[in-house]
This record gives sequence, C-alpha cells and structure tokens, in this order.
Amino acid sequence: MPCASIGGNSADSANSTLATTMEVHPVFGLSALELARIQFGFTVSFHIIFPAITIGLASYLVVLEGLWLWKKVAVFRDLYHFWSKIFAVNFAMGVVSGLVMAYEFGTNWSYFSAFAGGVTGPLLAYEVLTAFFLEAGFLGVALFGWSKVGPTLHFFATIMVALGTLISATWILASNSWMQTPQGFEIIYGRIVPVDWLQVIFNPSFPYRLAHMVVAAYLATALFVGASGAWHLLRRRDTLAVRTMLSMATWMVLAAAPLQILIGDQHGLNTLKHQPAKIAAIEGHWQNTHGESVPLILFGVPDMTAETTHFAVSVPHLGSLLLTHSWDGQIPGLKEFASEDRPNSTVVFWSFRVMVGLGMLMVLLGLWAAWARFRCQLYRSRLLLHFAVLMGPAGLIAILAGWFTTEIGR
Amino acid sequence: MRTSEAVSNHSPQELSATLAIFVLVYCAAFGTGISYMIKLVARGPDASLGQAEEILHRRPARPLSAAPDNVDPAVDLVKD
Repeated sequence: MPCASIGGNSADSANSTLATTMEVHPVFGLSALELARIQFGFTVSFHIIFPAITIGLASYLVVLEGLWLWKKVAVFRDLYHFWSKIFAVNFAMGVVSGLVMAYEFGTNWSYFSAFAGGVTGPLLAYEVLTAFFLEAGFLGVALFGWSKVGPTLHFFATIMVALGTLISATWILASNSWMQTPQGFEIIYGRIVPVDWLQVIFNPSFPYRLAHMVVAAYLATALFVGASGAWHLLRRRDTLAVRTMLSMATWMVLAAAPLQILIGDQHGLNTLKHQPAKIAAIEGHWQNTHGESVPLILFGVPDMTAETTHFAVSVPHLGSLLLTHSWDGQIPGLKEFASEDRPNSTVVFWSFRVMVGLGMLMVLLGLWAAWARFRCQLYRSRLLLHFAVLMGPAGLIAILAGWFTTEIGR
Repeated sequence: MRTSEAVSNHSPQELSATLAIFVLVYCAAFGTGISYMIKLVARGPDASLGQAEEILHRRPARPLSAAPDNVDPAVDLVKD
C-alpha cells in the first residue's frame, strides 16, 4: 500500500513497460497489483499496532522509573515491573512483524525498490544502525538488570530504549514522508539518486507526520493503560497500582488529545499545500463555485464515477474556516485533477472521519476524567470506567484509520 | 512512478496464495502473542507481586540463604 506513488506524476517511463503485471485471469476479481497492495496493507496494518504501543510504553517506563528513583514510592517500581513484561512481549511482536515488510519491498515491489532504493534503502539501514542497535542493546539491561546493575545505569538503559524507539520512528517517518513529498534527489538513468540527504530527510511533510505519529503512539498507549486500569477497577480490584495506572493515563489523554488536534490541523494545512488532491478526496469536495466558500461535509457518500458526494450533510463556511483559516477561502476540488490522479474519496472520506471522530471522543474522555477527578469520582464513576474500557483500542483504530487515509489518499 | 509500475511480476494466483498464508500465520502467531499480552494485563500489577512474595516465602530461610534478592524481574519472567 504505502510504497507507491513516489514523485506523483514524475513517471519513469522506462519501468512502465517492464512492470505491466495485469494478468488476464484475476483471482476473486482482483488483479496482481491489487493483491500486492492488499498484502502490504495487511502486513503493515498488523505491524503498526506494535510499534505504537512500544513507543508509548517505552516512554511510560522512563516516567515510572524516574518517579520511583525520585520519590521512592513502591507503586512506581511495581508498575515498572508489570508494564516492562508487556513491553517485552509487544516489542518482540513488533520486530517480527516489521521484518516481513523489509522483505516485501524486494519481493512484491521490486521495481519500486530498484527505482527508489537509493533513498529508501539507506533510510532503513540508518534505522537499524542508530535505533535498533541502541534499543536491542539496552533492552537486555532494562529487562533483566534490575538487581544486577546500579539504579542509575538501569535508568540510563531504560532511557536509551525509549530514545531508540523515538529515533526508529524518526527514520521510518522520514522515509514515508519522503515518499509522500519527495525532494533532494535526481533521476539518473531511470533511478533515483539522492543528492542532498538533509533535504531528503527533512522533506516538507516530515515534521508534521513525525509529531502526529509520536503523539498518536502516546495517546494509544495511554488509552490502553487507562482501559486496563478501569477494567480492574470495574472488577473491584481497587489497589493503589491500579488507581495510579488510570490516573496517569487520564492525565496523559487530557494533555495529548487536544495537542493531537492542533498537530493534526497543521498536518492538514501542510497536506493541502503539497497534496491538494488528498484533501479534496478527504472532504469529498468536487468543485468550486466562483467566489463561494467551501462547506464542511459532515456525512456523505462520495461517488467516484458520478463525481459527486451523495446524501451530503454539510455546514456552510466551515470547510473554508478549517482548511484555509478564512471565511471564504477555497481549496482545489477533485474535478481539477485528472481522473487517474484522484484518490479514492469514498474510502478516505470515511477513514478520515473515523480518525477524527475517535480523536474527539479522546478529548471527551480526558475532560470527563478531569471533571470526575475534581469531584473525587475518578475511581468510582462506573459509567466513566466503562467508557475508558471501551476507548482502550480507540487509539490503535485511529492510527490505522489515519494511515489508511494518508496512504490511500495519494 | 505509479503504483502499477512499482509492483513485481507475480501472478494473481501466487499473490492470493501467499496472502492467504500471511493471514493464517499472522492470526496464529500474533493472535497468540496478543492474547498472551492481554492475559498479562488482565492478571494485573498486583497479582504478579503476590506471586513473587509467595516464591520468596517458599525459599528456605536458613542463615546462608537469608539475604533475599527480592525483586528480580528475570526470576519473575521465568516463573511466569
């Protein structure tokens, strides 16, 4: 799914004749191309769940161990040991599911790798060298060294593991962002040759995408930790450790969910600048009338063949306000792009709304929990606890919906 | 470069067969992993502590073995 339209229309015609793989006999009505995309989509969707939790838990473990060393309250040490086991299992699955995709680049997307490997190959190699080696080296100390090394060295190891997960995210997001908004390269003899690595890494969409993903990982982890705390409370296992889990998680959601909306807004403006067709598809926006503002379509069914959005329920001016931050601003409509350059609006319209809807529910959870805490009801309100349990997988679902939006939307 | 130019020359039959294998293996491997993770979470932070203490209490407490290295995650991991 993702490793697709690098350079948009800067088509490299030398490859097109080699790679025409449409077979005459499709399976279940699906061509080889569609099947290869489904395969990558399936493996990468499964994969992203684990790194998201890994990134979040690694930083959470740093906070827990820091609090234990600082305040010497046993509950932080106990929670550290508890979550480090879950971290270990999750980390192992992340590594295994990630390896599969490295092979897929070569087996299923060989023409892509031959064409763009000059950039994507080294970026993956940097990830292994700078992030994975760091994580793997210190992970052993963090998991098994509690009573074998001093507390300072152990804390250092935990920090290095967390830093490794963040560096890892940086390289992967640099690679993905470069595929979305490429720069710093030349095409020589039908192959991409990097000419300026700083431009390649710090491509226009990279900072937004990285911030959006890291905060998403923190949010997803906080929701997961909070849901497990709420679940134990609902089963009347009311202990200090369980309460601390829920308390820390809801603080995190309260802070990170609104922050994520701000980052998402900036990311959206960046996408409008560099990938306007994606925004038009997300909004189900087909054409502009001269001098008129863009409404925000809340619900509707975009139809790619009829070139319209059916059953649209829209709020006037809101689209202009959100996307151009002005009352009458216009954004390009889908009809301004050639039909083969239009992302599938039916899919991304809805995947985007799933992500945003869940984001709004996360803000609600953060506010509700803060209000309940203020009223001394955080650990008692069963309705709130049930809501927190239901929101447990919401972060991961939102991450998947967001990635579907950005990858199908190009 | 377009997606259709990026894909390798495999037949739909090959790709659908490998896709089916992927789905099966992933559900088996990661299904097991995820359910184990959920089981650990469901056990809760306090259950594992209780176990560690139980193990400690079962140890002989003669003078030579009196010094307990009470919190060793390695031991905890093995026992789990």
